Amino acid sequence: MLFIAPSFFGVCVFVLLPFLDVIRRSFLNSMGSRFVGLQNYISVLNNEAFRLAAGNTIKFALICIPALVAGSLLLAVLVNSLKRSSDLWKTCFLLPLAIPAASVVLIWKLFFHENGLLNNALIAAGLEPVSFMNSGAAFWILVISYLWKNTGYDMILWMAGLSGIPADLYEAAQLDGAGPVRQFFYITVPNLFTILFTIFILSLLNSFKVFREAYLVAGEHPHTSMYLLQHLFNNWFTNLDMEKLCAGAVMMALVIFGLILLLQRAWGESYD
Amino acid sequence: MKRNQRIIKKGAAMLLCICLLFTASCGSGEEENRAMGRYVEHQFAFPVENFSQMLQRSDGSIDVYSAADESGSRYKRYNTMDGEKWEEEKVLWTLPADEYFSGITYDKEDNTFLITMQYDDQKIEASVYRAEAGGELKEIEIDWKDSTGAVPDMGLVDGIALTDKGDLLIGLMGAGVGQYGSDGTYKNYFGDSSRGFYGEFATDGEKVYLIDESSGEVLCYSTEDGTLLNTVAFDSSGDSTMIECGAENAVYLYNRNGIFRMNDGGSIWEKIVDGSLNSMTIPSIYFGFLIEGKDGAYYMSGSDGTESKLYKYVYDKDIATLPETELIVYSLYDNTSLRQAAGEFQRSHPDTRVNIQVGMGEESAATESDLIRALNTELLNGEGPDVILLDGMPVESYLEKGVFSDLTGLLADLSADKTMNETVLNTYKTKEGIYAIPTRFSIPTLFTDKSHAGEFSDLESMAAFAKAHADKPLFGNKTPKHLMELLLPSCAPAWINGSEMNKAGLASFLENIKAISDTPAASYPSSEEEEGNSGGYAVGMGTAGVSINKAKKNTEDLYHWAFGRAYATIENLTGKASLTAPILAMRKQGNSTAILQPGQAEGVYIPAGIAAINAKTELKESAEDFLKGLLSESVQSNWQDTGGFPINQDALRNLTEMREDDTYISTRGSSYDENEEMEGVMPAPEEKRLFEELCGLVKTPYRTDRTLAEMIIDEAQGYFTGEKDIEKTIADIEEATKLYLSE
Repeated sequence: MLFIAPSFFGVCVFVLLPFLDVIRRSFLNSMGSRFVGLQNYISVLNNEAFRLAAGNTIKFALICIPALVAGSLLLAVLVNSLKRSSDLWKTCFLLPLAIPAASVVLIWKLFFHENGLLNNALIAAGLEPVSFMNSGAAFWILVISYLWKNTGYDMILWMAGLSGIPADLYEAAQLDGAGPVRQFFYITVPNLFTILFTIFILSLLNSFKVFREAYLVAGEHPHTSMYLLQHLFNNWFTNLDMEKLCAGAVMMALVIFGLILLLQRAWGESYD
Repeated sequence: MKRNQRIIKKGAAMLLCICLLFTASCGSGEEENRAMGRYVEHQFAFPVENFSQMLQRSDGSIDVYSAADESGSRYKRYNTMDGEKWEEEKVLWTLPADEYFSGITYDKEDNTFLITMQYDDQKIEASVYRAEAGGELKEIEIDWKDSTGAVPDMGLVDGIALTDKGDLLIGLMGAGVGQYGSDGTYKNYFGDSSRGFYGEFATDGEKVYLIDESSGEVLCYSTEDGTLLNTVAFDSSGDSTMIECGAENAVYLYNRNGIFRMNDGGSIWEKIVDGSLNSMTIPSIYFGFLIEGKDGAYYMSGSDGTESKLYKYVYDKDIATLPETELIVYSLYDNTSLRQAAGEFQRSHPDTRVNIQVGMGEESAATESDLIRALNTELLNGEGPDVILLDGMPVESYLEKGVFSDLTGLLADLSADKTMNETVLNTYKTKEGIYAIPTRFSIPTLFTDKSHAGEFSDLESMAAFAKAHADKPLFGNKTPKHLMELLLPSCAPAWINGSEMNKAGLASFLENIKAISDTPAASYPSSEEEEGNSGGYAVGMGTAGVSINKAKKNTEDLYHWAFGRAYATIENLTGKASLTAPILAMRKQGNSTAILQPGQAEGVYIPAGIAAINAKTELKESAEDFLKGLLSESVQSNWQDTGGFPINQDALRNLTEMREDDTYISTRGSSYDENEEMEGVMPAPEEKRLFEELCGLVKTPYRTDRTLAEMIIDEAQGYFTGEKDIEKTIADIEEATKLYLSE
């Protein structure tokens, strides 16, 4: 208790207490002068922009997190199996994480602008140019960007888990005639189950950070396919719609918290 | 024993802490600790309206020279010791024929030295004279040289001063200062025009101080051998900075930020008079000469273009250095009226300091949204500025949330005088009250031939006219995007109401735009459009701005109309200064007139300078006084404010009746023909009266925001290229804007 006291104090002051104020404000009018009951929650749930943003955010998480978790695991196993160039590949895959958001935005623009590299390539190939940022393609650009940026980080986490698996298990399996695939499914996967929970949660939280790039590239009102909850919250804040922002934030926090509890329970049962 | 010692130590420490706590919290009070003493401003009238120079005699009194006749060869002089009483004195010297007064200075014995200019078609000449006791002018032949040793351009000659040894110092505007002996022989040159741009200079008799505007430094030179002795950096942010020397060889810099003093041989500027606490901050007043009086006061001449005054700054040790209360005024953008109102407020409220906070300052890297969110955080905490200028902010949202005070009572007093444009004043009036008021407004205006003006009643009639007159376009640039940007202000109020959009109105708008655009007449798209970027239509800084490319001005259409290539042009008029080019075009066209821009809505205006008072302010009375100041005749009569026409009718009349017959103007060059030129004297009152009348005809505010306008314009492009029909276009616009409107 003594050791966690400083960080617990920080979390209380900078996270829990402000969040309690957010909960309080979600039951008040915008300027916090009048109690309105559940009106803000009803208003937010009926808000078309909120429904679209929540749908896009869920869709984004449902596509990105499994893809990221599976892809990074595969990469981790492959890189781990390399004897000599393992460090080089680790550096390569971690590099996107070190690139600042502003630079990522420049790369986006370079590739996906109406007169960017991809459209030039399409025109050179005799095809019609695509308005990447003003069509449904914008969502998939966001997905690719997220995967590109976070795969290296998750890969490192997986590799930490892989290093904890005793080599004896693989040797014994080899003696028993198990091939690499069977070793993966019967030794590697079960032994990584405990770290999967951590990676899942970190990936979920990282998925919210993709807003930075989306905002810098497409502004406050991007194409509807990449309009996320953060866009909406940001715009609500600008318009001083604090009551909606607080109600939306409380609902979002409840969903994430519920999801984490569910996963924890599921993991706990599986682990037992 | 040890345990007892520990207890004693702990007890002593606790006692010490308590003592410290009490001494810190129960001090002798703020009142006693507050810094006292400040220079207070007093204003005096000059004995003459226009004068040429103000300078100081050896006895410390002040002389003012003014032309005594129209030829400008005879001068009269007025003298004062304290700025209050002036005595006229006879000037014995008379300038030679065809020579004009340029500058005057005295030596230690008050002998007069003059510099004059001669202008003819071929060249400009400068002459230097010493006035003898009897009034005779004895010319000093100057061996003119600049930093390169060549004879300088005489048109640059600006300012004369004397060293203690009687050497002449003659300034060259932007290029430096030459030092010449009393017989005119060249001695030294200060500054290098190839390296810097030099402003004013001053001398203490031994050294020359020269402002290097390019590096933001004051250069100190020796008059003995011309060497550079020292350089001292200064804050050049306060407009043009001037320099003067005073008693005990002190050096003074002065600009809108105040008067700064540096002691002889020093390297630090001390602000002795804070410009933000007096008239120095008022943008319409230009300050000229500074003199440090023998009484320790500072005397400055200032003029607002119509009247000159002597501003005297006297030290008052009994007044707080900084006023106890601070009225915070916030605006996203710098605003001339705000500064003007702040200066005038400061005069009448010496106990309150106006702190103008500008979000998008010159060095600000923040976006509008970032700044609004920062402001919102303060407002949510029950804090924030006392007065807010809402241009660029979500006005409607703020009004819904009850962020501001009700101004109904304040406005009732103002309305009683019947000096305000009631329509504009009540733009934001609701059942609950008036929580924000536009202090200015702009009017989108259509210019055309008098014979056609009656044919333009609405958007449909404009489209019908364009169809019936295919020989030339209605507007020079008739690309759909440009037309939409141009006509949206006068049409959108008819089909956008809050978060609802009327489909039929939008469809009519698009169809009529297409009709105007599709006529076979030639079009003159701007060079930016031809290169793939959109043209621009700047409509000021109001929240209603539809400005897509804010920096560009729609002057191309004006030229097309003025030179007969189009039937009409549209200009968004943002005040007196914006009338100049359109009136030149009207003169060029001959039989022309101006009407409020026709469209789907009637009598459209764009509110600007929207001011409100924070509901949580503790200085409500001061905030209301400040707002009254913003609407006062004196502040609204500021002709330099390009934020819109004043809503104060008296101020509007002042601007209309303002005569500037002696000012010649010209505008030149369009992308069609860069040699096309319009020139003439400034608009006369009789020409401006038409626009005063138009200001009185406004009915409908245009409050649609920029984001929405951009969405509509972007989504409609496919309709004009034929990619989609009107139903699909309307559906796409609805889809694109639905999200934004539903937020």
